[in-house]
Amino acid sequence: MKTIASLLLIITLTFSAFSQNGYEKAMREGLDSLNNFKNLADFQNVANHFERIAGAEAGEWLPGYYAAYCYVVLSFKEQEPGKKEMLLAKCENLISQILEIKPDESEIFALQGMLYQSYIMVDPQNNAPVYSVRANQSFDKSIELNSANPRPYYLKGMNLMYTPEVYGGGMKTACPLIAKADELFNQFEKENDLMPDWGKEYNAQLLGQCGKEQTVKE
Amino acid sequence: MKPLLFIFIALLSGQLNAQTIIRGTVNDESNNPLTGANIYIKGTYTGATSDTIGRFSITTLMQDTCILIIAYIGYETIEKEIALNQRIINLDFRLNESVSELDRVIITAGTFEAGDKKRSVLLSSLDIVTTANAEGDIYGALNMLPGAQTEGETGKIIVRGGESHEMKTFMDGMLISTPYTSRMPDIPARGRFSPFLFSGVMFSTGGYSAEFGQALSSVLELNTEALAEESLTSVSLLNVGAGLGYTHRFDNSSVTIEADYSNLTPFFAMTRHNLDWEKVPEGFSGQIRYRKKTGDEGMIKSFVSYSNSSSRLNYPNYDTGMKDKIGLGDENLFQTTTYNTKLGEKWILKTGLAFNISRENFDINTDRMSDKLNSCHAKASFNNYTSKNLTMKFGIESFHHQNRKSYHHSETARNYLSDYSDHLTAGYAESDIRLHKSFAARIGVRTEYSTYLKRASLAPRISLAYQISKTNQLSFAFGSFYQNAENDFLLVTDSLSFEHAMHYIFNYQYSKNNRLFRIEAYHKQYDNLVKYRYMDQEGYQSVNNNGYGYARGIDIFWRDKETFTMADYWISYSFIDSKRKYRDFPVIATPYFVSGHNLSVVYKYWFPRLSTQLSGSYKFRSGRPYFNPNHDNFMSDRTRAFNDISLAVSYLTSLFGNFTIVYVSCNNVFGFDNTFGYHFETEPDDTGTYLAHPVQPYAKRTFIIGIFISIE
Repeated sequence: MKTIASLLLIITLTFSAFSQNGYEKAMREGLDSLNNFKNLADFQNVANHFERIAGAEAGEWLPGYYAAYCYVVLSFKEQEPGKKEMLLAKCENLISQILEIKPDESEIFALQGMLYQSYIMVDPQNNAPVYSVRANQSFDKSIELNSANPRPYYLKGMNLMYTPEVYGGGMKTACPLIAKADELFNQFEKENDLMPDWGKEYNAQLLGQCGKEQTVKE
Repeated sequence: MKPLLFIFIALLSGQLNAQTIIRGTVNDESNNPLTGANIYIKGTYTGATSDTIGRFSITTLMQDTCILIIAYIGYETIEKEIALNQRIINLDFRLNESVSELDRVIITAGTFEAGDKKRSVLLSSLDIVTTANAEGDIYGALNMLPGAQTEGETGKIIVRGGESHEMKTFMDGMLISTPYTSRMPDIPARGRFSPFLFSGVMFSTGGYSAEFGQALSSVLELNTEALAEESLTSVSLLNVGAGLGYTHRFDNSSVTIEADYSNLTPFFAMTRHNLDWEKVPEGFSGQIRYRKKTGDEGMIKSFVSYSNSSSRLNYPNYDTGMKDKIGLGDENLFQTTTYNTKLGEKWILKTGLAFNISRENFDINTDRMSDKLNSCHAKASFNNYTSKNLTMKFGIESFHHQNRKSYHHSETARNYLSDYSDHLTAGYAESDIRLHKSFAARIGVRTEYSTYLKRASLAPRISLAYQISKTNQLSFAFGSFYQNAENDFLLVTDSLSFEHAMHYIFNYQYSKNNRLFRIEAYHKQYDNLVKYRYMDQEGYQSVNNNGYGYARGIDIFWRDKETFTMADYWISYSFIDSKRKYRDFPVIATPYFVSGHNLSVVYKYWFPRLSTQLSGSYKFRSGRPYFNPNHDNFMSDRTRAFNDISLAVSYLTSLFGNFTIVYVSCNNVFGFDNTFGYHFETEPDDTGTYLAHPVQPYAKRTFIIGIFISIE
């Protein structure tokens, strides 16, 4: 009897180890395609891939996170307002699912802020008042949960750069945040290689613009 | 042990050996390939994305059966059990568009819906505030929509030939009995509440839901904000008064306290007007709003507002040739509390309690009048959401109205007193049915019983909508509407029945992205309108329900936010033909408040570099009928046409780091000479003619200047 039990235990362990490796392998595959995308259709492909993993791994927040990330990127690129809202609704849904799995993850709130920024673009005149407040609340929460996370600073800074000065935007307010994000990006160390690690390059570009602006002024 | 191990090995080897390929296509209802659909085996990583011609292929090692999921944004997900009994399985799928998304068919006959957060809308709160000519008043902005016209001398809205009392205003579904401010003769009233309070406005010009009753022509639904987004202090300073507000946001609740002081002295100082004020209008108002989220679907909203105002005016009396001294003092208290909660999976209970207490005191020279109105509204509605294609609501309502008017005639030292109170109970049932993706129906019925009139009514309402294509839609509405007569008549007699109107509405709507065109034809048949023989010092004589009439016409609306960058404009045109024989009309005639042709154009342009929005509007109304006692024919004379061009500028800036709006508006910039009608002297002069005195706006041009600051 003992032998049966131990054998079963070994088999189960092997299987779960196998499945764990399968998870990591599948995640890495997804991240590879995400980092080497060629066109927008790839984002839909990758989103589908991560959604499948999310469906099979109810306890993991990362697959849903990356699927939501793909949808928010797609929503920014989408021109047709109706389609844009559907993508955002999908993304919002995914975010609320992963917040149930991990309610105190700084990265999720940073992504939520980005989602709200995209909502503003659907109908700026009507959505800006509500969603700009929500976006800021999400970024503040993200920073509160992990002050070393560069993404909330980066997203906030990028948004301010494209906001007119009278609404509290412009280079003057944006650049300190971009600089802060740059500093954090350089120090940032992922807990493991599946954790989010995006935004560094584009933030560096924005920082370049900040530099130019200053030189012109001087 | 051996059998178990054997089974395991058998399983493992089986998995390795038998591969199954599932392949096929994914199409939409019209057989167009869907690219990007996610096809996968439930609970596994195994799956694929459909390619540009809708093809997919999956390889699996699973045995027996599996559940295949086909999902795509905007379409209904398919889950299908599949027997893995062949090496290659060919499957083609057709996905149905999910109707809960944006393109679903919605009933549009008679309705102008605004502010539904994400959907691109007809009018938002911001639109109301930035519409030139509206002067930040909700009713002023409605005036720029087809089917609605403001009665210039009262400031009240006339919808499709229906008097202002035929329109009812609701806040979160609860009745506001006194939606307009008290007013002096010939000076327009305004809406009592600021447009900033509301996240959504639904303006219905006919054929509305059975949820609403006691309105013959129109319903205005104002929906308040849910939780305030953040803590905020707001300061406003205008040439008509100043306000201070503070909002505090807690985790699941928010509280707002506001106080406003109004004084029209600076406003009249910068306006050339013909009013002889003894005391310029001055008043105070205070407001408390409380919101609390209770659970997933639960919400408590409470709103209390108090206001008072007073003014004194010397008003010309053409019979005596002297000026009457008129004084007005009023107090108003309005409260509404609503509570919504989920009952089980499929039901939502919506309840509300509102009351409105109004006191108006008028004095003319030494005569005194007072008008006391108490009203109370209680409501409970059970809403069922069985499926996306079938929703139902059942509701009961109770309205209590009490009105008391007194008049003290100083010359005879006589006091006239009259009062009445009515308890009206109503019930309604309504269902929204979607029979097909492109065909929807709303069928409802409403019943009411009045204890004062001792009468009951039964009103059926039907609306249909058919979507020809994603951008084109036809709607039709039909309904029966009942209403109590106005207080003035109910104070005289209780032997009246409900006034009644039938609506028939045909609507075509085209909408694509940010352009919208709609044309609506309607016919409204009135019967049981109040009729009386004449009015004298003792009041209305022989009041009955023998009045009748009709209104029919065409309303056209075009809004375009797309063609010109940074510009948004809309054009509305209404043609109306309306006649009545009611009140003391001796014959059937077009009533004095109806203009046959009405045109409004609103244009807004945003200058990004200047952070400034410029808004202009043009309004045209053909002449209104009036009764000239010098002519034999009743209501055969017409005033000149009404013209108005107004401008408003909103400049967005920051003041000490706080978001600030500077606002300047001017109505009737070119000073068109407009006339609403005429007052005739009651006695003819020596030549036998009755002299006419035009009723005109009190000023040719009016200016509003203000600054609004939000401090976070």
